[in-house]
Amino acid sequence: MFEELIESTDKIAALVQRLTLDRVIQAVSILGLTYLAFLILDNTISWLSEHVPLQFRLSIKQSLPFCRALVLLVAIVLLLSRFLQLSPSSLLALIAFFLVGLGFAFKDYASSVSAGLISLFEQPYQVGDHVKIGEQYGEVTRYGLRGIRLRTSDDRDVTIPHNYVWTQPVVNSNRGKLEALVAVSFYLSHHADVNQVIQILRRVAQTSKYTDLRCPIAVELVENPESTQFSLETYPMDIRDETSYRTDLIRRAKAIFKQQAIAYPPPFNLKIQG
Amino acid sequence: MRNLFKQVQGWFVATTLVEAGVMETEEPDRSARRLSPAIVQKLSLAIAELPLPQVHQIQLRSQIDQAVTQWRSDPKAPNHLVIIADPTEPLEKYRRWVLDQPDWASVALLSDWHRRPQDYTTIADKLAQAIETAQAAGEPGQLVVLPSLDQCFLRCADGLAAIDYLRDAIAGDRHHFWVLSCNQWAWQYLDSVCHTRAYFQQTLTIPKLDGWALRRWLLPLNANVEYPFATAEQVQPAPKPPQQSDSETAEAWASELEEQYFTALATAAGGISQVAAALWLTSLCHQESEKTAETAAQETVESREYHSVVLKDLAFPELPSLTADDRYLLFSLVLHRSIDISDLALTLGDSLEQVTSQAWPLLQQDVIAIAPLGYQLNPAYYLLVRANLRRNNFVVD
Repeated sequence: MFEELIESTDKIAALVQRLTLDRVIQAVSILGLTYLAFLILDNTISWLSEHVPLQFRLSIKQSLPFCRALVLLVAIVLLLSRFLQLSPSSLLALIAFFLVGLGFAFKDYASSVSAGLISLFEQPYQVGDHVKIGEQYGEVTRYGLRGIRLRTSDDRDVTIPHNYVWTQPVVNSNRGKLEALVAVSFYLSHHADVNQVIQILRRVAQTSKYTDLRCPIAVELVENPESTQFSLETYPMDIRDETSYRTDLIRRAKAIFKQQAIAYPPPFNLKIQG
Repeated sequence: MRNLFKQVQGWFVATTLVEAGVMETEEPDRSARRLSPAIVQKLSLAIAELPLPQVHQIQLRSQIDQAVTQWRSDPKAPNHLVIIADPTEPLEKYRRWVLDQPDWASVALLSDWHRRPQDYTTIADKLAQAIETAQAAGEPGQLVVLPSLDQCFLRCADGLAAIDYLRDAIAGDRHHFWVLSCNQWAWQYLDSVCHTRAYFQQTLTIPKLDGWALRRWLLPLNANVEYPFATAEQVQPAPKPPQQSDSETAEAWASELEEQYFTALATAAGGISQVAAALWLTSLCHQESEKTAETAAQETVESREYHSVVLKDLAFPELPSLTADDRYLLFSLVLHRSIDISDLALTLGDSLEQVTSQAWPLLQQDVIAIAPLGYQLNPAYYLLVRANLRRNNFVVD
């Protein structure tokens, strides 16, 4: 094994001898152009996705990782063609070198990159999806080589490495669609008229500006010892409005509860701080 | 890079116009001046006073006659007819037309109800009171004409009570024939939330107008406008002489240019009368004609302006870039056809200040207007707004 490694290193050393100033300038130019292409792709696709009709927004956003991967592949091939004659033995030596190097030095990075490549095809998340990974929930705004970037509801960017998908559950709310189920729970007194509350909650959802009326609206009940829980399940037209939608539903439902004198459960288990 | 973005953006704007059936015919005449607001106001009033297009009258008469006859002869036949039109159409005018027909012995319910009551929570009570009075006093067999349904609800949690009441009241009264009306968007919405289609199966969708129907409808306005068609004919190839085999339509066009203009107008307006009228109005401009000094001295400034109104090529407005909030506002506005700003705020679930400031740019850009009945969409933008909302996941038809 060790002898094979030495042999590979010799071959790499032989390749390095072919380095000329001309080739180095070409390589730097390729790297620069690749970076520029990334910038143009990021900006163009981001601008396009926000200006096309809503129904095409996610498809365009989701094309970004593939476009970046394509540019990267082209850049790698161009770079290799500058320095290597891609004979089978050279290729093997290079792969062996990279694998060993990556294995020792960039174990986590390699794990993230390979997870990112696998995720491109398995698609546990795509750009534009609303996902929950660990404690973080938000919209996937960027799909990078090493990880994704989430925009949370409080407008923070969270970067999560792809290799989280090996060990953490990924909860995807919309899986590439604009609509996603939004469930809002209300806890009311056991004395509340259940039919009246269901009717109110349905009307609240039906009259919200955000609601997609082509999707079903449901109210589920759960009986708890201290209250009756009403869970209003409905879909907004655009999952981006999720936070505003929840607020709108809660605000208007509470206003009607107050107007119709619908009782809340009595406070219990209150710990009074001394 | 910026130029590239602009070019790409230009493609989208062009696509939007084509989708809406809107294409500019020729470069506008640079020497022409825009109409003065006073003339626009006068012409708008003249458009508002136009009678219903004849095609619509014929359709209404035949459908209502047929529905009433069926209801009188068959106890299982529907006791209602819902007139459905695009949200730009003046439903009050349809209602008034039905009431003016002497042979139907129709009675108006809440005839002064041209707009939603100030307090929307009173709508259901007022309707209930009026319906009970009509049922008690009216003779069986009468036609009862209701205010349009879009003025009987407000999209808020307790704003649909009147629709629920009407639905049940009409279904339970076979002694009267009920004529209702509603705009297409509100009809779709009410069906989603109140299942109105299950209760009101008999509907009449107002037909679209073709070029000829539009020309006949706009004919009374000719006196105010100088049409270029006769003049243009001189430079166009001579029109074919009318032949025996030609249809009445082909014979009646003044020139090929006139036919082309009105056919293009009908296509661009999607056959919707008010949209066509708005586009026709935007096609007008001032153009000074050569007059003798004596004639010019006799005219007042206003009459001179009026006489210089000339119909030019079809001109189309461009929809400004809309934000998500603009779309919610416009959808709510069109859903209710006309609405007070305070009611609009209620339907959006936003504060009055927020909605006022949000509506202001749209008012400035002329996309919406403050009409006597409240805020309304400018009909010239209707097809563009509808196409935009449809592409952004809104249910518009």
